[in-house]
This record gives sequence, structure tokens and C-alpha cells, in this order.
Amino acid sequence: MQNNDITVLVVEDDDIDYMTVKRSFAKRKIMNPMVRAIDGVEALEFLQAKKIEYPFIVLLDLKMPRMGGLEFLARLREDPELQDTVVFVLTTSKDEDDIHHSYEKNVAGYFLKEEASNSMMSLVDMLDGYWRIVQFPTK
Amino acid sequence: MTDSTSLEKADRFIGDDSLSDLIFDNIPDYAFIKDDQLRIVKANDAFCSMYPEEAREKIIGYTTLDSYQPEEVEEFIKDDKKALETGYAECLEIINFPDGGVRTLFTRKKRFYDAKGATFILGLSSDVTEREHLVAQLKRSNEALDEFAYIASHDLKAPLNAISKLVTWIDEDYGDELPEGAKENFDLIQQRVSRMSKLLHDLLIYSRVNRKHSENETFEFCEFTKEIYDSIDIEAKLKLECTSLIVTLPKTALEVVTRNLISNSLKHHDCENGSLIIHVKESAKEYEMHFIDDGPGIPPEYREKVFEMFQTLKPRDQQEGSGMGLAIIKKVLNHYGGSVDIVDSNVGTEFVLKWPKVDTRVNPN
Repeated sequence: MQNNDITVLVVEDDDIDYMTVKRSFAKRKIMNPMVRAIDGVEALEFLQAKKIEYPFIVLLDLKMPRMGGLEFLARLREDPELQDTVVFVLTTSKDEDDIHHSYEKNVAGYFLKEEASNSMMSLVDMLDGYWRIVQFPTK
Repeated sequence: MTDSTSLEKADRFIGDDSLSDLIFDNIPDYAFIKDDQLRIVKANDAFCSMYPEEAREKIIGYTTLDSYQPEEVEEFIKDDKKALETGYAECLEIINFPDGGVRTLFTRKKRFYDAKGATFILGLSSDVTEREHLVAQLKRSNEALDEFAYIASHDLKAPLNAISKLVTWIDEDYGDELPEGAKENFDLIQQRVSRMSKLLHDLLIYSRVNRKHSENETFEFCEFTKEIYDSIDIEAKLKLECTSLIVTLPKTALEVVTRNLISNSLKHHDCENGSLIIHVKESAKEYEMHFIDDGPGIPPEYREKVFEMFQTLKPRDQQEGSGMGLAIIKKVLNHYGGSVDIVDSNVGTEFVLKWPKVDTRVNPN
């Protein structure tokens, strides 16, 4: 498995926040395929219809129309085919409850969208390092 | 009127039930007495008026429960039984009156025994409809305020962050091609965006400042203020002098106050070698703290205004600041039943804070 085989599913309702993610990946010259879903409903549709090629990870916003991140996580963990999905939360919410409930649903990490763009770069560097060495089960 | 006639009047009531009857009938409450079988044995006119005219014959000697909805009956019996067993019960009840009105009654029921030892309950109901209505209104407006704080923090900040990012990206992507004037204006946009972001941030702090109840802690005051002083990220330096005293105060709340006062002194100080003196003294009922600096001072005519929200004494282009610091301090002190004032001093500014040791507020939580 090549590290650039891992697809990133970005679940994000805000266009500019999505552009921020894309720009940050481009800055580090990370070429992994990126797919965007505009909310939890669309993300579930993509995943359940197997539109996202395995292996993949999910970058998840919490506050979104129709289905927010926490509800999406609950649905994901209920689905036997998808329950082992690796999900990173990326949100503006500093709410203790949101953090707690995210980890309760086994997220791999909870990250804040800060105003400064360098925190986004650290997240991208972390992901870059992560999938350089991570082992996924074969499906 | 002579003394003898007023004595005569007083005599008239001795050994006579008419006075207690008069009182009972004229109490501005709905009054009733029930026996241990929950039958009404006495009721004043106000109480009887709660029943339709044709039913008033059947009040005394009856439980009168069949004129109410079953769930109301349950509630009545529950409180009657509690009063009979424990001696006292009180509750808020919403009552449908025969005239179609819906009123909220606050009813207190007290057990007593007559001369022969029989058990009774005395019930007094006050009409608190307007009061309850106001309480509900207040609750609603507090909730609306909370919601507003959330919108201010999240929904207003998000587009602001987006603007800031877009400007950065224009600079990153086309910076070399932009004329100098455009660059300057982009810098100004960034500056205003971060100012607005700070305003929203401080507004959120203001609205939530007393949401988390800060517990009393015992700590050394001077050490505490020095730590805060060292953590403030402002270039100016002041000579800090501070009283050593072990105090017992809500530390988190005091930190908000102290941080704001110290950074104000640092930010507004106008000369190289200034000083900031912080005194604290303890009396039986409160801590009194003085924050004295030798900066430019606050003219007397602005000493009330500076505690209002978003008030600054200089244009924000000369001195960045949200104008929320002192408003936050005042809100904290009000919350703990204390006070904050600016007093006259020869040079600089002197703030006096009074922080009561015992929480004197009703329902502090």
C-alpha cells in the first residue's frame, strides 16, 4: 500500500473551510485523493454506496446542516461495514461536551480549526506522517 | 376618641370568635381549613368565589374534589397528605376558575390541632400569576441571551475567519502582482477582522463570565498576582508591588478581574518607569483590594462610562481594545455581591474592589 493511496473524505459544509484543507494539503505537496461531502447525510450516502475507495480516512466537521458530525459518527459506528472507519474531527467547537462525545464514538483525534492557518499545517503534517507508517487491514 | 372607648373596643373581641372570623374573611388570600378527612370545614369568601355560584352550597363539609380534573385532584391530595403527615406543604398550582380565567396560585398548607386534639390543615393560597409570568419571561430572555452569545461566538466568527483567510490567500497567490496601495488596504482589512474577532471573543466572555460557578480557594494573593502579571503578553513593564496575604476567594473569577486590571495598567501606561501597586486588606465581612497605577488616569467625567460595554477612551486605531474589560470586571463583582469603583488619586488610576467573604445573594447558584 502506497501512502498516497489513502483517500481523504472531508465532511465539511463551509466552502472556505474545505478550501483551507485543500490548500494546506497542496502546500505540502500531498497528492492523496480528496473527496468532499457537504454534510453527514451525503457522507453516509458516499460510504454506504462504497463510492469512496478503500483505504480512506474521514476528516469530520461537527456543526453541519441536515446531519452534524456527532450524529454521523453514531450512524457510522452502528454500521457493521463502516464501524472501523478512522475519523479525525476538525471543528471550531471548543465545547467540552463535543470533545467528550466525539471520543466516546472512538474518533482518532479531535482538532480545532484555529484562526491561524499554521495549526492547519500541523494537522496536515501529522496526517502525512500518520499515513506514511499506518497499517490498515486489507479488505 | 378617649382611652376608655378604645379599651371598650379591645374588650369586645375577648372571648369572641368574631375577630378571627373577620381576619379569616378579610385575608387577601384564598383561605380554607380542612379536617383529617380532607373535608373543608371553613373557607373564606375569596376561596368560595373560586367555585361556580351553584356549587358554593357544597363547599363546607365536602372535599370539593369532584369539581376538578382528575390530575389536579391527585396533586391536591398529595399536598394535603404531606401537610397532614409532615406538618407543612407548599406548591404552585395552575387553577381554572369558573369565570374561565387561568391563575397560578402559591398554596401553603399547615397542620394544626384544635383544643380537643383534632387534626386540621390551614390552607392559604396567594395569586402569583403575574409574578410567575414575569419569572417565565425572564427565563425566556435569559435563554435568548445565551443563544445570542453562541451565535456571536460561532456563527459570526466563521464568516470573519473566512474573510481573513481569503485575504491571506490573495496575498499568498498574487502578492507580487499587487500594487502597494492594494496591499496596504488588505493589511487594514486584516487588522479590522482581528479587531472584530476580539470584540466577539470578549462579548462571549462577558456573557458567560459567571456561568461557571467559581469555587472559593485559599491562596497567597501576591504570588497569584505576580503569576498573572508575568503571563500577560504586553511589552510594557511596570514595577509591581503587592501585599502578601493568604486569601480565600473564588480564584478563577478573581483571575479574570485581576488580569483585566493589570493589562489595562500595562496597556495604557504612558511613561517608561511606571509602577503598579496592588493592596489587599481583610476585614470581618470582605476583602478590599486597591489597584493603583501612575499612568494617565481616567478623568472624573468618564469614571462611570468606562464600565459600560464596548467603551474606550481612545480611538481603537490608536489603542487596540474591545472596551469590554471593565464591563466584565463589573459583572463579576456584581455577581459576587461586591463592588468596583474608581477613586480620586493625585496621579494615575486607583480602582477599589470590595469582595464580600460571605455570599449575600439570594440563590447564588
